Amino acid sequence: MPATFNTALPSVNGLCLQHCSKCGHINYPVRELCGKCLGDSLVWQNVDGGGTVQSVTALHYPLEQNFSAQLPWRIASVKLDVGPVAFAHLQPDSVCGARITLSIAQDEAGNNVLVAKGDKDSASEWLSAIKYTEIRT
Amino acid sequence: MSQPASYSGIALVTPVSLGYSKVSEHSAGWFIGSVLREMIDAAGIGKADVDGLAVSSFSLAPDSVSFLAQHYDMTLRWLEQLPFGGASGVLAMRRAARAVQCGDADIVACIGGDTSQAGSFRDLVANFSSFSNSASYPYGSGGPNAAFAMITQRYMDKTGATREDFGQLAVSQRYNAQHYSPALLGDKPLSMDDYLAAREIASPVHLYDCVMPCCGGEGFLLMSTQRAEDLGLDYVSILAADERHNAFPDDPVQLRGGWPLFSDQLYASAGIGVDSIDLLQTYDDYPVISMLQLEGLGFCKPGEAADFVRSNALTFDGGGLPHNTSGGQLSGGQAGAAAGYLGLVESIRQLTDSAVDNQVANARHAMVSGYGMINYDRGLCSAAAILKRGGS
Repeated sequence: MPATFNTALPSVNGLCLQHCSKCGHINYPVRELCGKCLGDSLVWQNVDGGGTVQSVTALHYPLEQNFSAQLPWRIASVKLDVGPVAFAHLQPDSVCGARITLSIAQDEAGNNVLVAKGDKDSASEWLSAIKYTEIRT
Repeated sequence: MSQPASYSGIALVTPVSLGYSKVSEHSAGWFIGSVLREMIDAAGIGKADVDGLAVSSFSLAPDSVSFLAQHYDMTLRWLEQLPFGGASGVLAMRRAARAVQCGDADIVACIGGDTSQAGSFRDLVANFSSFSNSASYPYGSGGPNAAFAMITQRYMDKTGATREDFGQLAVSQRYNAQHYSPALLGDKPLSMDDYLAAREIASPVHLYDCVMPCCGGEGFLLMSTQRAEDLGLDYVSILAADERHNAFPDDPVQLRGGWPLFSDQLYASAGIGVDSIDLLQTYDDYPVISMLQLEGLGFCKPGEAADFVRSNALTFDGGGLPHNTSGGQLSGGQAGAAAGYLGLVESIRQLTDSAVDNQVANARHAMVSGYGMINYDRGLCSAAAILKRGGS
């Protein structure tokens, strides 16, 4: 059985993160208070998904079945232009230093997760190969 | 910024390591209580003489340190539970030392202990923290292997370090483990060819870069030097110790822990330089983290640890810088939070000449480093201490 994860990400097209309406800080991972000013004024807001791949790993032994369809499973650490660092499922052929676009997609088990798309032309092919769907709103 | 007061008058005694195996039917409380019993026996004191207890464990729940007082039928006047993973030992030592200096306790038992069952590692990883649950585990469910693989890859890209450089650490630690009987992998030799030929786990991390989860207990007693001398115990003194948490939060990938923020002051407080360190125990959950400690604690410049491990012998008897002299976690096993006490307990053995087959000759000073708590993408706790053989 594929696992259910509590990513707390909304079903939104593109990238949506917690924006502090008090100090303007973009927060990730998801939290209840702004990490910068500790204000209780976080609202989900669409943000630019542009970022740079800081590091990549290819996992041979995932603990959950969700990732066994395509091994090794590649994930990236991405520094977003809007500030935070996020882990994301990484499109093949994207390497360290590459520019990517981060967005929210839904996996087969219904989890909303972050995907890092490199080459735009082949991105949807990749997502359908791993049975992820882009969220249309 | 104010600086930590002196740790003078404090003695670390009776190092105990026990119970190492892959899995156990016993609970964490068995490991912690067994360490306590062995330490009391070694010190020649009664259980009632211990009036403080500091404990670290990932597998103690639903019990806590206060419940252990009843389990072990002890009346205590000082308690501490330290959920700081690989930094737990140094942090327990720092807090217990202040308790004894201030009269809040006379003898504190500092113990890390964890049990291990099939599947317990997965449960720990899958529910480690709220950030990890929402932002790390859903991305490949690789646990610490994934986070550290990305740190390792970034470190290699940035510094030019190679797999063979990490192998220097793993291979020399295996040699040390072959001279320390409790080490779980001590009976399996590891050559550089073996290291390089290992299967890939999470690129660029391969099998011998990963620790083996296991169970076990580690501990020491902390008391005044006067008490240690009255009891006729060999002891170790603390020259300096410090800690930082969530240092350099804006670094996109962790290529330094908190050590650079306090290492200069650490040596200044200790009154010795890095050249006077006779042995080093780093927290080696992955070789790259030991490299960050070599750099952060001044053994080499940032980014130059690969050169350092290529040009310095790291075995206990190699004449260079003896490093992780009991094999560390990489060759001994990672017994949960006990792994955060392993280097400290081994240093106490070394500086009281109670190591058996892996004794470093003429060791006077040891550096012990701790690192722990991978909340999301990096270890948040960094700590270190400089220890000195007791007496004049």
